Amino acid sequence: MDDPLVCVVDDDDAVRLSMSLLIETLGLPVQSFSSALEVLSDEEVLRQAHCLVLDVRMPGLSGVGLQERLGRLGHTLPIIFVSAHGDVPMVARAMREGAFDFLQKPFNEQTLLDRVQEAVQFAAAQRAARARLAEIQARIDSLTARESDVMAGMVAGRLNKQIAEGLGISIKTVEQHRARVMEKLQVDSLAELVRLVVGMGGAEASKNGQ
Amino acid sequence: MAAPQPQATPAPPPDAGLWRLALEASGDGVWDWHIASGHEYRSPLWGAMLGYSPDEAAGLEWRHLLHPEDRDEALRRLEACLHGATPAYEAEFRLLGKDGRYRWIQARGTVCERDAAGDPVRFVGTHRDVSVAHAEIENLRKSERLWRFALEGHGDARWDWSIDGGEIYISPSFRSIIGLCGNRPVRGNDIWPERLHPADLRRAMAVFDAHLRGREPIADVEFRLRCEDGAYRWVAVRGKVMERNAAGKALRMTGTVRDVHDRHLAVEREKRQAQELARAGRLIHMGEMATALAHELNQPLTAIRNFSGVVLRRLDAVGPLADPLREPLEMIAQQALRAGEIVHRVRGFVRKGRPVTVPVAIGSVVRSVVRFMQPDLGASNVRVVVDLAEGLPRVLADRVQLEQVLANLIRNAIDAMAALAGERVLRISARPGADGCVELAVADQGPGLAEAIRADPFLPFATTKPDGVGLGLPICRTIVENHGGRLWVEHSSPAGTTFCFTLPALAG
Repeated sequence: MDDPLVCVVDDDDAVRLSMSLLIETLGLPVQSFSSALEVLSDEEVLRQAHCLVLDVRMPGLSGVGLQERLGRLGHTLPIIFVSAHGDVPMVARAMREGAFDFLQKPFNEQTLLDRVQEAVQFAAAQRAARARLAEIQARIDSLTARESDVMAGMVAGRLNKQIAEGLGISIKTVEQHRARVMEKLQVDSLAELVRLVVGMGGAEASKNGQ
Repeated sequence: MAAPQPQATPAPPPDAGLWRLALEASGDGVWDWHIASGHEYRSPLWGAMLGYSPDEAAGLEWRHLLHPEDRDEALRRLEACLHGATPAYEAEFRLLGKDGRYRWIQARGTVCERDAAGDPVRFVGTHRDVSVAHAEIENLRKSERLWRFALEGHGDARWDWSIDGGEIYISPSFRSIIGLCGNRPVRGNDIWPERLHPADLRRAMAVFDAHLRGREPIADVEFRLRCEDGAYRWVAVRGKVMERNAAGKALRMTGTVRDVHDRHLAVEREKRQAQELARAGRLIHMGEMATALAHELNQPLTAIRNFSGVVLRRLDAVGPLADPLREPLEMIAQQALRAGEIVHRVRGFVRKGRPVTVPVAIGSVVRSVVRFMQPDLGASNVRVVVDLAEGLPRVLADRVQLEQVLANLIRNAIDAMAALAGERVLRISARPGADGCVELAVADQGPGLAEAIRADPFLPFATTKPDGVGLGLPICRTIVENHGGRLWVEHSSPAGTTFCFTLPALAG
C-alpha cells in the first residue's frame, strides 16, 4: 500500500512550512508546493496523496481552480481549503464542488490536524474499498463463460436442476462448476457468494452478463 | 471765416454782426434769407457739411437737394412758419451731399422781419448735421428689431419691462411657466424680486444690477422663480436694456425667459451621482484596504499559530523537563488566534456596506460611466467604442459598485494608452456568457501588462503607477466576486490588454 501522503499547497512560505511541520507531527509524510500548477503536473504525488491542504487564493491557478481541474481528471482525494480571505461566495463554491472542509486562517492547529487525519482515513478507506472491489472483480473475471453462467443461476436462487435444464447440461456438470465458482471466488457459502456479487452491482457484475 | 460771398450776398445785412459770429462758432451752418430780393446768405459751414465750398454752396437750390421722402414735410413746415402758422421752423431732413450721399440735417429758423401786411421779409436760421446721431438711432432700432426677431424666433417666453413706470409685459408662455392665469397686468416687482427664490435673490439681482448700470452688455442668469402653486422652477433669464435716458439711466429692458427646470434637475442628479460614486469608491477603498490588510496579517498569524503548535507537540518527546515552556508557548498560540479574531472583526465592520443588488441594464451603466468619464477620456484623446449584444438580459447588481468596477477598468485603460501615438480606441463590449452570465470586456490598445504585475495583476498593493496604491484591481475583483461573478485578464499582449468580468444574469 502507498504511503498516505499529505500535500500542502500555499504560496506563503511561512504558512506552507508551518503547516508541513505540523502535519508531520502526525507521523504522516508531507509534500509541499507553492503553486497549484506544480501539483497538477506531478502525477506520482497525485497518485499517492491522501489529502490536499489547499490555499484558496494563489497567483496563477487558484485553489478552487485546481479543485475543478482535479475533478475533471477523475481524482477524488479529499481537499481541505484554508484561506486568509473571508470570501463567502468562494467558500460556498468550494464546498459545493465537494471540499472536505474549509478553514479560515488563522485556525486552531488541532482542528486542522483532526481534519487532516479524518481526510487521510477517509481516503484510505476509499482506496481500500476500491482495491477490494478491484480484487473481487479480478476473481469474477477469472471464471470461464460456463462457470459465470452457473454463478448467475446460483445468485438468482435457482436449484442445480433448474440451472442444468436452463443451460442444457447435466446436474453433475453443474455441481462441478459450482465448486469451481466457490473456489475461485474464495467463498464458503452461497450466502457469502450472493453478498459478494450483489456488493459488486448484482448480476451485471458477472463476467459476460446473462 | 464769415467773409460774405459777393455773388449770392452782395450786401451783408447791417445787423449781421455779433449774433451771426456766435451762431457760426457753435458749429451750425447759418442761412439768412431776404425773401423779397431772393438773396440768401449761407455761412461756409452751411456748405461744408454737405461737402461744398462756399462758392459752390452759394449757387445751390437747396430744395433740389432734399431727399424725396423728406421733401414734402420739410417744405410744409417751412411754409407754416413763413405764414405765421407756427412761430418757429423746425425740421429734420436729408440733404444730398456733393459725394452723392445724404446727410441728416436738423433745421431751425424763424421769421425775424415782417412788413406792415405781415408778410415775411427776412427769414434766418441754422442747419446742424445730425447724421451721426441718426445713424445711432437707426442702429438702435436695427438692434432692437434683431433682438426681437431672435427672441421670437427662439420660442422663448418674453418680457418687456418699463423700469420707470414699473409695468412689465410678460408673454403668455412666460405666464404659463409660473402658472399665472389670465391677462392681469403685472408689475416688474411682482416677478423680480418678489418671486425669486431667497437663495438665488442676491446673485440674480447682482447680475441685473451690473447690466442696468451698464457694466455688462447683457443680463444672463439662471434662478428659481416661485410659481402660483408655491413650487419653485429653474428658469434662465436673458435681458437687455433697450432705452436709456440722457443720464444713462435704464428706462426699458426686454428679454427672454426659458424653463430650464428639468435640465437643472438632471445636472443636479448627475452631480449627485458623481459624488455618490466617489463616496462609494472611498468606502470600497477602505473595505478593500481592510481586506488586503487582513490577508497580509492572517498569513503570519497562521504561521505563528502553526509553529507554536509544532513546538508544543515536539515538546511531548522531551518529557517533564519541557513543562515550564509549555504554558508560555500555549499563550503565544492563543494570542495568534486572538489577533486573527480582531482582524476578522475589523473587516466585518468595514464590510457592513453590503452591495444593494437590483436588476440593472448593463447598457445604461456602461453609458453613464462613459459619460461621467468623458472629461478624462477627452483629455486623453481616447475614443470609446461601445459594443453591446442585442437583447442582453439584465443583471443583478449594486449599480454604484458596478460603475466603480467599470470606471476603474476604463481608468486603467486610459493610463495604459497614455504613451500611444495617434488614435486611441477603448472598446467596451457586453455579450451573453456561459452559465447564464453576462460577460463584459474592456479592451485597450496599450502595450500590455507590465512585467511587475503580469503574474498576478490582482495582488493588493502591487502597482506600476507612480501615484497608485495598487488596490484598483483587487477592489474590482472583490466587487465582482461579491456579486457572484469573475474578473480576469482575457488577453494581454503588446497590442493591448482585455479585462473581462461576468455578472449573473437575471433569469427571464
